[in-house]
Amino acid sequence: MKKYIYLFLFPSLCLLASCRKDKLPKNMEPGYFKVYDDQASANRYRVLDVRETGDGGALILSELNDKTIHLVRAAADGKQMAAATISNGSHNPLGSLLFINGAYYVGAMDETGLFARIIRVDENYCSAISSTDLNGLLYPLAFSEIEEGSILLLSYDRTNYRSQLSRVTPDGQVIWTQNANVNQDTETQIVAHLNGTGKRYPFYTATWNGKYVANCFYNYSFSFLTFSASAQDAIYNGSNYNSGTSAMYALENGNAAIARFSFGQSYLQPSFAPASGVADLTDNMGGALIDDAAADSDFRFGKIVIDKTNYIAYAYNTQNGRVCLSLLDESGTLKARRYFGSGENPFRIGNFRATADKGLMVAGSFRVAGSFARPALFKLNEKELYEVVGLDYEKAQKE
Amino acid sequence: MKTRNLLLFFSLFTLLTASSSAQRYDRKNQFMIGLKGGVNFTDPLISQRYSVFAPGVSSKHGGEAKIYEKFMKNMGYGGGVAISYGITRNLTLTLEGLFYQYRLSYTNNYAWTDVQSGSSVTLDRTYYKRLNYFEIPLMFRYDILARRVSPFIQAGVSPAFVHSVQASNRSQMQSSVLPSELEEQSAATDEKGSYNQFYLSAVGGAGLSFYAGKTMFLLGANGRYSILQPTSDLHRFSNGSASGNLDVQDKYRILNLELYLTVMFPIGGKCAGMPKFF
Repeated sequence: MKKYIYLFLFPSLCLLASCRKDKLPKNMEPGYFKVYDDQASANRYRVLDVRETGDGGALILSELNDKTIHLVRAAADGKQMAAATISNGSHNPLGSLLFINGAYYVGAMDETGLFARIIRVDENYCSAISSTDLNGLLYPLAFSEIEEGSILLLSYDRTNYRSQLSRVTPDGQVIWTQNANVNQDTETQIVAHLNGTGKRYPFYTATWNGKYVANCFYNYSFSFLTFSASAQDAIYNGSNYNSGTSAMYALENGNAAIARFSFGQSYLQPSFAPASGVADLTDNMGGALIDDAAADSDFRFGKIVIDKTNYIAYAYNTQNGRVCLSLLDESGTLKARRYFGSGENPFRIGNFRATADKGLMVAGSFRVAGSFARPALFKLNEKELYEVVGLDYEKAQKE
Repeated sequence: MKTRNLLLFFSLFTLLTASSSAQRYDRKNQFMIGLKGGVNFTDPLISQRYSVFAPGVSSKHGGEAKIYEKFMKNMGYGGGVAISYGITRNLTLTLEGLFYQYRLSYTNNYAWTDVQSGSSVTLDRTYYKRLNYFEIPLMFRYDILARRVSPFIQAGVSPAFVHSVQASNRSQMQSSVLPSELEEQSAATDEKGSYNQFYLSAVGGAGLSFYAGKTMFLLGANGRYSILQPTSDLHRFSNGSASGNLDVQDKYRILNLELYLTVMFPIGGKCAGMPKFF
């Protein structure tokens, strides 16, 4: 008789022992994926950047139909709080959304004067609060925030055929300008780049070991240049306009991780040592071929900390329409990889950012049903980020 | 006509049970093992809707509503083994080990318009889900008459572990100015990661038990209602399928009706399950 009762008891006890509900650690929110849709089928959004807002939400900057500035404000759970275009006579937003002294800034070009404009935006209403014109700096191409709340701005002087790197303030003061002679008229390429009718060049600005970096047209080529505040320093020329660097990230050891392109192929150099006063080719920067990268893919770099370990992360567009996020350790060894998007609904990288809650947000353009390009946002919480590098979050917390 | 059918049913039922009234079928100390199989129908009871689209799907149905298929069209199946032990003459404890499949499907309609040309594009996508579980229902069955043929009622709980969640979809894009595109069927993927590994439901039902020699047949219907929800709040978006499917699961509880037949055989020594008249 008893043995029969055990037949019931054992499975029942095993069941009770295994009953557990999946729980998130305290104060951790689930991750999400959101597409910020628009019913107008003809609208195309090209996501450029994303910033976390103070409440754990996100502010996404896009370019609508290769021209108009568009912002989406998402709440901490990804729900759309506001979305609007900024149409104060400005268009062609620059690729970065700056956060300086508690305020968000978008860079753009004046519609008629073609000069640079810095627009302070309200992150909650996605509207312009104020704007500053930089009348002497035409064809703005890239900008980034640097020390003491100022901005490094790349522009193109159409009269003298030269790229210009300027240090400016958000209120419009130009502190200095460095020139780099292109020696030929590249306005046609720049217009095609801005309108999306030709190759989009990865113009960017950055700082590296106290030097200012401009990735721009120079000396009949697309070049990687460094400057001091008063003079040009290192020069790495591309092969005409067919090669150059795509992105860089200054490492703490003084080197830089560099992604570069050459005739449609992409390479990653995880640790490039600086050299002062050199003139070389970007093709000599080295690096390994990234075979699955889409031709002339955008690259984005960033730092991610997982379980107290620093990772250099880079994201690029793959040939099958996904975004690959790869994580390198400090020695430049590939440690993990995570894909976003699917081939059916191609996803293209805008940017990614580590968040205050130790998670990650990845923003990009998502082609709904392969047709309609819309801003989209993936949010991974800390636990999901641990899973990316193959760690068990609960176990890691106990250790 | 309906009344007549009902009367006919009750007459047959009374005749069947009355014919066995002379013989007592005492379930006490009976230990039986058997096989069970049947079909089931699922109705998801939605408590919160989710969408990958913000502010919401541009749907011809409005909002972000998914249109769920009707209860009777969500037919799954289940089957496995059962053991039972008679505690008293009428009361029996049963434990089953089942492979149980819940099926459900719903449709989303996405719509976009071209303001300049006035044309519109719609994408109709129907999602099919097969939730496969290993279920272990533990129930008390009460045979009302303790005779050869007896109606019974039963109730218990049904813990379950997810085995797989087969998901696929069928979609068609239509333009107001172009011929309809061909309907596309996606490959089936496993969305197990978006579901809780453990699932628990309350189960209860009624039926008819009858003996044919030593073999006992149970013909019945069970209702199941989720105590724990099947979908995971934590992993709703995290398995990567959301971006491929353009959709994530709503939060819901399952209401399920199972129709089944169980065949039980007596085993063991003294509690061989023999009815007294044997």
